[in-house]
Amino acid sequence: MNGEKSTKRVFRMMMVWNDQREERWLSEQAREGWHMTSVNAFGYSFERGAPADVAYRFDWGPGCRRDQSEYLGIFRDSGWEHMGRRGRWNIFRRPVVGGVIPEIYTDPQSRIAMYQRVMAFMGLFLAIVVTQMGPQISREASSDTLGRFPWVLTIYGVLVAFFLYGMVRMLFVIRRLRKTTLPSGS
Amino acid sequence: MANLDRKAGKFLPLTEATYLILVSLTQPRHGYGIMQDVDAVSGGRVKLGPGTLYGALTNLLQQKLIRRSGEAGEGGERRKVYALTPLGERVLVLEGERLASLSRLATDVSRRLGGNP
Repeated sequence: MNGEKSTKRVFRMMMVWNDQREERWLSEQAREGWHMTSVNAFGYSFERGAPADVAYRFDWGPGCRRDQSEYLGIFRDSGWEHMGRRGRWNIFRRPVVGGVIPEIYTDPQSRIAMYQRVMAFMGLFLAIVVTQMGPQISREASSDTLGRFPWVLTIYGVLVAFFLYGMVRMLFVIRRLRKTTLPSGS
Repeated sequence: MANLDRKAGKFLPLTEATYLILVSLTQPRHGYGIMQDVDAVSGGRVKLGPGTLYGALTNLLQQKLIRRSGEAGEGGERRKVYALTPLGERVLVLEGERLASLSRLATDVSRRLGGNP
């Protein structure tokens, strides 16, 4: 390897709504000869190889563990390699052959449905945050226990803002996809 | 039957992918079998991605248009097999009738516009 490093680890944050950004970045890495080997909550590991044109795709998988093997089986059967998970995002890859970029969603309707599942997930979290923390906040505010109140309020605000922002991002993605769909597609 | 038809009618129109998946399941098949069959019957025009297929299967199971019908293969290569339910069969027939009437219209329009139907 002429003294060059043959593996690297990259710390990289990923927000729930950044799936397409991550896909593009991983493909760029592959074009530079860095091929992903594993993923964890903090980032990716790569090994050095020949530069290659590889499609990476993130899919919002089933929440239920019981369905995981059937789900992964269908992807494996159709030629996609499962690289690991970041939260509920499953990462798959497949080489680009003859300039044809492979897709895991082959019509806009099913792709929209996936982003709607992501949105529903964030909506559920938002609902939990609001219903669980809202009463707590108002209790603390009225009982004058200002000791830890500013912290609770900050965390509460950040969480609500995070999920609201994520849902708005998803709405825009869905709206862009809808523009490519005929009105009859349901 | 009238009751079943009313229920089935609510699922129309189907997307092309969903229609072809149901057609494929007139015989019980596993996921990859469905992909290959859809590819074949559409003359290679429709290639189902695994995300599209898995999402459709999940929906169709929830809507009770298809059911699980055992497993194929063994060991780590075990695959779930799917089959149509009576409701799924009705949906497929009703959608077929809708498409057939559109197809007659299409032939007519093509002829009028001097195309090759």
